[in-house]
Amino acid sequence: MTGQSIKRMVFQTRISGYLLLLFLIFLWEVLPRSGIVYARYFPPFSMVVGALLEGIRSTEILRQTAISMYRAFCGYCLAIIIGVTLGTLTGTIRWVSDFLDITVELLRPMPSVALVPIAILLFGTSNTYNISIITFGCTWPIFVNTFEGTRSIDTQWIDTARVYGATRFDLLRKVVVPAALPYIVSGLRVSLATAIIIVTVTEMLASFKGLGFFIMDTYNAYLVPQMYSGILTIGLVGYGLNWLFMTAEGRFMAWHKGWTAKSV
Amino acid sequence: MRAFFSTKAKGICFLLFLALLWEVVSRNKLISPLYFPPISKDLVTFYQLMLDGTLPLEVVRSLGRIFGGFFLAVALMVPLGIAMGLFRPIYNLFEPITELVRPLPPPAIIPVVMLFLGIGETMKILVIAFACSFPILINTMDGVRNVEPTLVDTAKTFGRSRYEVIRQVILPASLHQIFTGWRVALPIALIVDIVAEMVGALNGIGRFILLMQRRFDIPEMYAGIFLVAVVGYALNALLRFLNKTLIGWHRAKFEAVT
Repeated sequence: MTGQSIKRMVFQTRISGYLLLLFLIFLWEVLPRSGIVYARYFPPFSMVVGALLEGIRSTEILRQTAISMYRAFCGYCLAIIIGVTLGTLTGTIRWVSDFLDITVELLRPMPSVALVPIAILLFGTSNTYNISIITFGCTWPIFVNTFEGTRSIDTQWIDTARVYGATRFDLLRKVVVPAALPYIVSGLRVSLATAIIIVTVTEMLASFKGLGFFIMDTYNAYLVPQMYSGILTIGLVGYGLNWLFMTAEGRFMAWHKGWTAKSV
Repeated sequence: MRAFFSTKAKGICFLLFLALLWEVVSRNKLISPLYFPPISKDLVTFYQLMLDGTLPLEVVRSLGRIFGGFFLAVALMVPLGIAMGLFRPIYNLFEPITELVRPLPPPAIIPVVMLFLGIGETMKILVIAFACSFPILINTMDGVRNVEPTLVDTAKTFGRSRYEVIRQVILPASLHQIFTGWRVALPIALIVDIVAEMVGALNGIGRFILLMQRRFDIPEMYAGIFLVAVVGYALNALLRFLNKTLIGWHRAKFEAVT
């Protein structure tokens, strides 16, 4: 292989990107060890990985992750139920959207974290506190996308179904929801990321369990490698869940591609 | 016009109904008024705190941080996004690391930044900039990559240099999507600012809300939350206005072409 073709291979593919990643990890290892960066604040990569492995071995990290995932999952599922129901109702029934319009416009730009103090007052630091905030934050993307999806349906489809004698329920089940599904799914994807962010935030602010708590707790206890291992875990969990979602979407939403090629 | 007013009226009625429900639930102690004071009391407190300057001062500090972080992210990520969209090698170089860091919830890096920088302004501006970076970068990159090739080819046919093609064709044609990135990023900036202020700050609206809760000044806490809602709404309205005035010409011009 000539030098020219190696150069082309490295820069025309993502190999260069992975090399950069390796180089940054190398820097993460070397800079603290050589004392250029203060190692107490920025421990070498190997120490962080060591802390992560230790956390996994003692099941501490695993338990905190499980608790965070449980909260995120509950809030996410509630948000799906509320968001899809309200979105379909407002999208298909005129007077419902007339009534909810202004309230939604006022509440939607509200940052969910600003509600944290209210939720603490009402629910203490129980799981309900985390779940309520997650639900509030995750509902909006799902709601808005469901609404847009049901609104964007080609009226021809509805008319055709009517001509063939579809009842209102048939229409909803066989035309409206399938046609809106791609929109709903993109709302679900946005909300998944939101759920992970909010569960972390709520746990950082007021909780005695979970990954967000673990990060703040180790920060306060000055256990810096452990703190980084917690952050690394959240990143890995976020990456993994996103990957799962994309894979599932590719598998279950594949029917949609050829079917409605022009409408989305 | 009449239809417009009647639909607005329904919406306002519903809002008033919710406010009334809040008032009644609280006054009848269905939820302890200690935690959930009647909305009339909260609104009066809000009004007083707005007049005596407490809330405006806090919110100006917060807005300074939000826009500081936001513009830092714009300044760094728009050029990088354009470069990644235009040049394949640069895309290849940075894509894996972006994909890896992007799923990390931005507030999770607050403790790291606090270790190095304490709880000062720089900490918040950096965390906000970090959070804003990804939507801005990815939308800029996508916008540049999705420019209709016909437009670029036409410009080249008419002898435009590479620089001219970028400035006169690619940038205007991708502006719409670049702006979409900003529209996603600004609400995120508000959220992250509030979190950062709740975790560690000496002032700002997020800190104010949490402090009032801890002091058990509950109407003051609700007043702060109202203000956050107002700020969120105002930022949203600002973005919609900018979208209409700055990008409105875009749709007419480019939808005709594609």
